[in-house]
Amino acid sequence: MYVRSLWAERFRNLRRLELEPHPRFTVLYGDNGQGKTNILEALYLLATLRSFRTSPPGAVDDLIQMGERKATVGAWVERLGVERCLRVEMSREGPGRKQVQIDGKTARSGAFFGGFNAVLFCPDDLRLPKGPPAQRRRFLDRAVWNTRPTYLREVQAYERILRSRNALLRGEGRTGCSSQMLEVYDEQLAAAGAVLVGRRVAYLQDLAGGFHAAFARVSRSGLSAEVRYHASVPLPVEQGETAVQQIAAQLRQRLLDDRRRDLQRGFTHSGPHADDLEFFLGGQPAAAFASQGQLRALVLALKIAEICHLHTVLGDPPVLLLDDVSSELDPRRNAYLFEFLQEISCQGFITTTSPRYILLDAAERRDFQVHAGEATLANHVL
Amino acid sequence: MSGDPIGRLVRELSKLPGVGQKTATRLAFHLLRAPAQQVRDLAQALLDVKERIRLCSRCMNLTELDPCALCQDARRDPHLLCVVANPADLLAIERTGSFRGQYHVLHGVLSPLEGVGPDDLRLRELLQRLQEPGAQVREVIVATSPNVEGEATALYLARVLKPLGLCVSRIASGLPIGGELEYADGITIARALEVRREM
Repeated sequence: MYVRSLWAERFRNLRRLELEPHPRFTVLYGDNGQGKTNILEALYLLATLRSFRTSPPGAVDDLIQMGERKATVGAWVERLGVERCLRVEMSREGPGRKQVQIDGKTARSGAFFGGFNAVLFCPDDLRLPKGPPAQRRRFLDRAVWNTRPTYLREVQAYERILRSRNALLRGEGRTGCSSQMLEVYDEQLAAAGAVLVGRRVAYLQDLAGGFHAAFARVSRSGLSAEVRYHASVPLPVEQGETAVQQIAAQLRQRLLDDRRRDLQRGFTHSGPHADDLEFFLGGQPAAAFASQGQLRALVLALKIAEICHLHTVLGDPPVLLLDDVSSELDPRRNAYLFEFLQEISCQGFITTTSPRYILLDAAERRDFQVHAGEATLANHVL
Repeated sequence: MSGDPIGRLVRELSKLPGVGQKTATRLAFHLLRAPAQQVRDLAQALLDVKERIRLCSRCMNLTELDPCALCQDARRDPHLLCVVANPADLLAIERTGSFRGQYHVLHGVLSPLEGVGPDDLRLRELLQRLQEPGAQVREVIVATSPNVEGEATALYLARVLKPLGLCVSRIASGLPIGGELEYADGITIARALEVRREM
């Protein structure tokens, strides 16, 4: 898939942006604070209806230019030969703070997803192996969601049950906390949680081969690279429907075993919301043993595996959003990143403070200088 | 009392769900122009629902007579009991004409997030009814909505009712009849596949 044109109005510092990207690579360069990342954020919003910078990710107020009440982003996106017009309008007031349209017609978010897939790679990702567990879970959930949009509703259902159970544990309101009520929420939570665990584990299994191969190329070493899922409960070897039922049974037992502790502390200790990923290099835990360079190579390999896997699942290459990644990579790994980008057929948007990091031929790129919220086509000679 | 009857009426009307200032004003002027008898009838109807409608002591549905017409209807199957969250759900099922058993209205669903527990629902009345001497119910059909709260309520009911030796069933969820598969959402299709049946 590829973005034929992009526009934004009153979105962050982009007063009025119109951009015609290159079918291959669009390089956005300029000093910090000029709006390069805002352009990536606009694209990301069109793909996910979320931002990767606001908290919570669904918040809209920060996305609208100061003093304005509304902001709009839109794009023409071609996917498998069909071109569609996607548009998201954000407003500070009213019940529908984010309104989405496909080809001029209002759409529900469920129908909006799946037409445009983007994979973001930003400097934060490079800290994945040593960063907080929540960051790794977020990476995994976003990656799974890209391959199946309905995962979002499964996650939302799980989170609602989790909040209900935690409210029950704290005896909020007048409900009290009978063991019969807890059993109900244990059962619901275990069933919904098992679905998430099953999807995450299956995703990582699909990714394993590609990840290992990509790491071998990035690091040019024979070390094995692996990412393991640490669940709150033992996982069955087999995949599939019965596996999900087995995980649910294990989770139910675990919730029962944890009950005293959960009641004392007022929250649920076990479940996919507390699971984690761990990177291994040559069989050793990477966070503890790997060098800084190796850790970055691991993440680079993971993102590459994610992109290739998504391409296979969708039957169409996703759009890549690379936010100032080159400045964080050493020259050799940066060179490999561009080697990979040239090999695959994805369209990419790349921000950088300096176009010299960008190792792409002139024929495959269009450079824009971003200054004070405006992007102008660059006429520099490369 | 306010000396501005129109303003007062607009304010009262705009308290209604789904009615904003604009609609309230339009309704107020409509009433002002309407024949006096029509307005009197409306006022009387409003008072009547408040004064004459109460809960049926058996099924907890809204009624003027106690027990309600549904509970008094001897043609309805006393072995089947359908549990719903709200009177509006009962009406929806009753409109289909395909259920000939009896009802019980819970007046809500379990929701720890909103502080609604079992004691806030008409559960005690349900249990009393099922355990009283001469109770004939064999199967309880739980017809709460297929969302987190509705499912939790159904699971809770199953836990409480099964020990009484009753058969507890849950209404199915899946594709709407007459709908088109391609327009159904993913979760619904997944659920429909999960609970598929042999032909």
